[in-house]
Amino acid sequence: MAPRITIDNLAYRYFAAGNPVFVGLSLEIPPGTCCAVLGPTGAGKTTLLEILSGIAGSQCKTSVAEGIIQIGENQYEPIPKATLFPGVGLLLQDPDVQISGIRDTVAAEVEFTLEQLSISATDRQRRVRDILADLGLSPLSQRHPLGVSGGERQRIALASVLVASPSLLLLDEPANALDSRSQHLLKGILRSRKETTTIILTDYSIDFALGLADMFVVLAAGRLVFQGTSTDFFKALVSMQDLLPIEYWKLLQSRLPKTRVRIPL
Amino acid sequence: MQLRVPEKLAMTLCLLVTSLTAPPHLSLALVTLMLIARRAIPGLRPMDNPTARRFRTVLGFLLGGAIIMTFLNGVLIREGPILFQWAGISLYDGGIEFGVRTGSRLLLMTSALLILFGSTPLSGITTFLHQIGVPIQIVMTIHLTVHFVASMPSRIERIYSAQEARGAPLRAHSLSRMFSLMSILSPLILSSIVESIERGKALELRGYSSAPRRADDTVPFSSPYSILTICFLLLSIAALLLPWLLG
Repeated sequence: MAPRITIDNLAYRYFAAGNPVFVGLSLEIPPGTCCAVLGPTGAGKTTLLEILSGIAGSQCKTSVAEGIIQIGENQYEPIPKATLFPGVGLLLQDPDVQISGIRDTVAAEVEFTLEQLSISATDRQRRVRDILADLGLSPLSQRHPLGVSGGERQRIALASVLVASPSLLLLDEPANALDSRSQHLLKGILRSRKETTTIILTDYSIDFALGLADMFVVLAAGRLVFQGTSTDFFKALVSMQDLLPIEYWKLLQSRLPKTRVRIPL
Repeated sequence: MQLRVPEKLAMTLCLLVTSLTAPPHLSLALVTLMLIARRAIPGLRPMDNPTARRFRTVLGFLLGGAIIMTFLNGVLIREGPILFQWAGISLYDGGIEFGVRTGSRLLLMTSALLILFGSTPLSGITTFLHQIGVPIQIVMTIHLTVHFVASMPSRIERIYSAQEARGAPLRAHSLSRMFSLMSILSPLILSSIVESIERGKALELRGYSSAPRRADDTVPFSSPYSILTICFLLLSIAALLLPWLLG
């Protein structure tokens, strides 16, 4: 079942004496929502996903965090200190890094995720077959995972995350290396998962999130600038002019659907 | 003869131990034997042509380096009788012996490791180590280290190509190639380290670091204790103990 995500008054810094990445960040994401986190470079989008996945707490021992995070029934105070695999899956920005290279075929690479769980070999293979079919990767199942195109690698990386059936799926700029056809395919996959999975994705521009996200969150320099539905977001964009770097605000403005009236720049 | 991962690992261990304790002529004989075995035994052949090319290049450079090192040792370490004298330069027996010992040791170690990694997919080695119960942190470290080293040449090539596309004559001649390598060294190492951290992060996100040993195996796996493996392990112990026993 898709979990509700609640972040209450989160403050986070990589070092005790360092600049804060977040200050008093509070968010609530209803179950089964696809939430797009937007923001300029350095806004804290990736850090937010890393905190929610537990990798920030696990890898950065010097970090200092305050606040409460709740994922479904589980409350973490201040932040998770170990990866929340398999309940939470994080797709990193670079698919080449996500593919372990430990296995020689796409099927074995995807199955590698399940090998970390106590699942019988028959179940593992069935789940791998299903996920490869869902993502249109069945014809590539015996190819080397690093010997395919960029878009296919992105889908293999996604398959390796989805195969563990996470109830919270985090995607860090998933459309980065994808052409429009692959983006369309990925959107379809994510839409089909919305009933069972809460999805949080980051996007620099708004292109990928449009038509997919039910909820938008805008961050700037670690502060929450906006959270609300897509309709509210389009209305509120005008008032965000002073809260966002002007170049970034112009970029978002230029990406608005054509049916909406744009404010002259 | 089709060698499996356990036999190859035991053989490499045996050769590494021998390289530390054996006299130079035995080390050189073993290097020659390894080079013949690399051609004769299918399990020791390189996985593909680029790997075979890299093996030849590295061994060629190493051989050249070993000869230069031996010569320099012969000149600089003035021990024992003079073997050869020309234009005021003398080669001393003690220095040559030291150089040959170090060079042969280095050659044997390197060829053993190159043959192992050139003929065995990294996945085969890590899977085997995981299966026999080596702690996952060690397996992960081996995986990341080998990946780090193996990705260096392609990374250097990419940087060279990118800079040449901007008109920088990085590979115009050997000297410019050497100087440019110096200038890209620190960004190269830094970017490789960053990628290793990201790769480790990705593995951890897939539950790799907390993984229990697999309950059942899909990879065909038979006992690592074959006669050949045991022979190699016994030989390793013998190579370690014999010099000590013989004083």
